[in-house]
Amino acid sequence: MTSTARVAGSFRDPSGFVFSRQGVIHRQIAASYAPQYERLMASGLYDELVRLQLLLPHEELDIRLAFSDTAHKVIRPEQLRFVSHPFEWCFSQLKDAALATLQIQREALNRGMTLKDASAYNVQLHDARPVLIDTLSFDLYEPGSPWVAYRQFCQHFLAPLALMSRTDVRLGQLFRTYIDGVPLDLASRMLPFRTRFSLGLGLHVHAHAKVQQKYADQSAAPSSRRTAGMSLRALQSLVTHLEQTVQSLQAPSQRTEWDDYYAANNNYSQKGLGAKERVVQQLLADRPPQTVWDLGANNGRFSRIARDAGARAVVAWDIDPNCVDANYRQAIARRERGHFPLLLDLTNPSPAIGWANRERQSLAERGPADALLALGLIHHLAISNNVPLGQVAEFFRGLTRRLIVEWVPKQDSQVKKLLATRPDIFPHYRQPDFEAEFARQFRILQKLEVDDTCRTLYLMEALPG
Amino acid sequence: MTPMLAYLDAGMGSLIFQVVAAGLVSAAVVFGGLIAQLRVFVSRVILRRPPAPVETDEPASATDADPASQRKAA
Repeated sequence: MTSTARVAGSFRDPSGFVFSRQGVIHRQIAASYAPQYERLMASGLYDELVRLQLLLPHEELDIRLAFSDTAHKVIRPEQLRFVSHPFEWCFSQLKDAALATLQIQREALNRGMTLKDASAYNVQLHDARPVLIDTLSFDLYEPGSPWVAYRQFCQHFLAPLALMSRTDVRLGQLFRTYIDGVPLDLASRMLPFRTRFSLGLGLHVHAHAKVQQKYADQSAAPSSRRTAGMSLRALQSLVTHLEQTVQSLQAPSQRTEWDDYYAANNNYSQKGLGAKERVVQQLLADRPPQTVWDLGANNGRFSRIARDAGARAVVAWDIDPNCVDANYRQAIARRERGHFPLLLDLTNPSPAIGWANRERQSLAERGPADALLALGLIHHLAISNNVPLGQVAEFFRGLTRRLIVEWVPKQDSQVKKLLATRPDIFPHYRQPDFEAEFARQFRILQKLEVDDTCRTLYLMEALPG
Repeated sequence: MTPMLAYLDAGMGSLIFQVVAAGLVSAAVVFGGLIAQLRVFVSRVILRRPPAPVETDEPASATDADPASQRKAA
């Protein structure tokens, strides 16, 4: 019996929807979208965007595989290794996604088409680069029409990028609250005053916000779009100007807590670090996992060891935006496939958001991973954030089948630092307690001391049930 | 073939603003082009400098480190 269901987050666009059949993602194209789809394929736009690695490739399937009777076509897109959300992206990832969207719009206009939406959720990281996953985002371009997705582009891309670049890099988290992008009036208030004198931000954010507020209670009638009298050349100039504006936004230069961890801010000797790497390699070699989540990955040092061990997808989670950004830029430079540096605060992990809290999946819903790396992490959860060890074990159990976790004892200098300015209220933060609490969720397979440190690495397997 | 109506609300304010913004930007592009041609003319004819090398057509990326590839929007 096949397991087939519509994907909960695919309902807004009447052009079609996404469904899953036996774990494989498919897309059904509605009969009403047939002219647009056929133009996309016949005009060469699809081929060009796939060649440029800007659009997720797909194959057309037998119509009998449709989910329902109203299908024009059924396609099976190339399967993504991992689905991430824009609030999990660093500045450079969001900037690349913005530039990709604008390049797609430029290519579309050159072939008589246009993007009818410009949502950041339509873009995914695929083989480290952003790619448009919604094949049905294209509409026929009607001469004289403005770009209907201009507002959405400014809210989903330009406003958050400007805030991250010019105000604070952590403001990318606004995506968790505003699923349809950052409202322009909010962005306008939060941006530094001097950005009003930048042509790009002054125009597309500040002035745009003012005009939006003026017409806030009026909706755009279809006829007004067609008679707007905007030439193709003007539209192309607008897209070019948006590209220049996005390009001019630089990654923020503010220092963050962990961006120099491996360079200067850790207590490992060279010997100790090398020993830890060898132990992790050894533990992964036993049964190389397909998917690995590296929690607290920092610059991805150990994530890359997991990749080298044969993992097909490694998600390198970290709370520090600069670390994720550096990790991403390194992945791009090295053309690393299946390596996903992403932002995550473990004490407040990505929730399920959107309509009925089902439109975008939570962290746990996108798992479980074959293996979880929790290196140099346990003391931050248990000591800095007062999370009981039993709850840490339970949380990890919900994310993975196999766990490689590093026990960091109180005599470690990093723990001493954490306890330097607060009373030690952690009588049960001891290795026997750690083993006892984790043994409720996992079976300990191996336990190895890391040379030149007082730390221990464990390989554990989740208990059934 | 008629275009499908956009399923999302484009926003009346955004549509109106876009027409104005595109007009301004187009004028700026034309003006910028004229200034660039003037600079080339002055450089070659009056100052007699050799022409600049041609830039490559690589896709834009956040990882571009060359400041020359990042033109200011203002």
